[in-house]
Amino acid sequence: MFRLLNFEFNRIFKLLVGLSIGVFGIQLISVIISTISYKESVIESNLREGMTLQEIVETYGLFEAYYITLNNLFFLPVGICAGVILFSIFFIWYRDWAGKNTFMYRLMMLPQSRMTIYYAKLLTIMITVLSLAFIQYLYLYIYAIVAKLILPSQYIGSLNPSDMISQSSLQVILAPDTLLFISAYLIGTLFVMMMFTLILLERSYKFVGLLIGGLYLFVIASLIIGFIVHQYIFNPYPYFYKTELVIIAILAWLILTLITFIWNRHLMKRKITV
Amino acid sequence: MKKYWKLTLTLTGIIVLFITFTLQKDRPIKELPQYSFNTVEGDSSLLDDLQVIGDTYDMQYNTYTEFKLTEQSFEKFELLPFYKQEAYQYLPNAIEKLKKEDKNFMRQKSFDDLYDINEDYAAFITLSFSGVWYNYNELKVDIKDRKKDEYKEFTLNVKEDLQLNDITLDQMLIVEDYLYLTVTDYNATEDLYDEDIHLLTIDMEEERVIDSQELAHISDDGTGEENYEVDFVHNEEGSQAAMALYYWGEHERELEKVIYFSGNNEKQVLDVSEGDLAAVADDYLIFVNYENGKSSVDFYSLTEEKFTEHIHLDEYHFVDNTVIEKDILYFTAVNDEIETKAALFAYDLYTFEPLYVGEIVPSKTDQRYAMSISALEFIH
Repeated sequence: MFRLLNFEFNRIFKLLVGLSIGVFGIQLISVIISTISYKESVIESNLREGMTLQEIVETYGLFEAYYITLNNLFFLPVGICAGVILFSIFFIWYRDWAGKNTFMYRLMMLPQSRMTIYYAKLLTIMITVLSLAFIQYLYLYIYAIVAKLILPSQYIGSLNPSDMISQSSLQVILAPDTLLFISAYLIGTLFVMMMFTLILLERSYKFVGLLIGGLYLFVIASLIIGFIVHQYIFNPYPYFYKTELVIIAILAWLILTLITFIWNRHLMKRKITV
Repeated sequence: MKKYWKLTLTLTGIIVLFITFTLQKDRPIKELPQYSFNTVEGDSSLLDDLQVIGDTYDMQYNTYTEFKLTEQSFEKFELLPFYKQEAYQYLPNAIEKLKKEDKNFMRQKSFDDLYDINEDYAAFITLSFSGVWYNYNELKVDIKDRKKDEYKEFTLNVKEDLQLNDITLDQMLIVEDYLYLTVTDYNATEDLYDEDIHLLTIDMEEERVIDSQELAHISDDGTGEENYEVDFVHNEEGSQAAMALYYWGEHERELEKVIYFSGNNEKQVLDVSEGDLAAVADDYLIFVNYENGKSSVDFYSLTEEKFTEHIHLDEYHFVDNTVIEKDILYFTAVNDEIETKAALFAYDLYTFEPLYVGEIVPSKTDQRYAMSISALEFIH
């Protein structure tokens, strides 16, 4: 299992490194733009107009954590990563069927459970996602250092990475609440498993499988959207309490994960062909 | 092992960064000071069922959290797990208790709505919601009779019944079987902006408005420079209450009218024009005053119809959060405008003698940290 995981991970590693470098490069430019913009438009222009340091800080505030993520460019690589990961979910399977040598045939012939292939691919995707999320966290420390190098220290407020997360959309990938963080990635895992169902159905039944998989995803998406609409849109206040929502979410996750897993297992063991 | 280095390195990195993230994510909130009671004089057992809700903030780094302090414990709202944060701040204790008592009645009720809860009734009033927009001339009234454990829900069309066109809800309270509600009715023309504040009396048995009284009228160009504010207080049983109408001039707030409500829909306009209405207790209305740097708590006798007793504070100002529990008046005050130090007082309502004086002390004395207290509540 570990060997196969290592094998799959090695195949995606270059992509992971490429994305990490890309994220850093683009976000660094974004942070430099935000910082220089603050320096020029807030500090230098007001000093020229005769304001004191104290007056500038009182009027415009210090350079705080939210300035780091203020430029729209900051979230561009995050979006690109999400797109690439979505593409990878399909690519990780289909490349084994593509090409002259059907590599999937060799994988299926390995003297171990076919589910090992499934686990290896699923874990590879999740490790890649988590790596990107935590690399993002690591970068926040570097961006704080960059801002401190550009700006005079008297104008710098809290550049704590925790504040950068809580004051921006980064909360989506790095939820500040531990339980919410774990839940987000468990839901992410379920999403990847559902995508795998679609792929395995297509590989097992071709176009008919694609239709069945599409229908399965459509039904689940409709249920979730219907629930959200009922909960938040046509009512002035949410119907369920948060504690009830947690229980509903856990039950829904367990049921859907179980159905998806059993279905995927059945497809892997009995239906899929090369 | 060498051939696994990429995977091993990545997994190690994920674990290390996850631990760092988990340890660091709450650091700004954890760095905010904790608070505790420091008894200066009196009986600290009076604090047994008392909880103080307040907020603490770091003025340098703009970090903020609400906190809840009891004699035994201290907790910060922002450190609670997300599923315990039912709203964006601590819910009032009366709401929490009612949620435990009747989860279904409290479904889709928000403490942002107008509500009042006493021993006999719980009532919520909202503008009726069509599913897409609010109807600004129709009220939805949700009532729970706590003694009989019965519900009542009805709508009131104020356009048809009272010729009010476009209202916002201001304040409400229940006294016995009557519900008093103040609303502001807006009438805007091209160059004139009219606001009328009305006091509506709703009979909860008959499910209709039985009286409407205009309290104040504003007519200006829409700049909002003058304004009125209504405040209601009532005793825990819901048998007596009072309403204060304040006029906001350019900077000052002036007490314009005080109405005392007792049972059977009896209303009495009182001759009081100073102070802020703070509480009602049997024979007294309690006002707080701040004048010439001195704060006081003043007792207006309902039988003698004049101020009869006063509590003067020397070191502390801005009396707030008045609560009466078992004939003891509790309130807070602060030592200066930035509220670096707060104090808690308890006075006997018969003798007007202090029973408890204590300070709410921060664990860090750095001037960058400030606090304010928003409520005193009894948990039982």
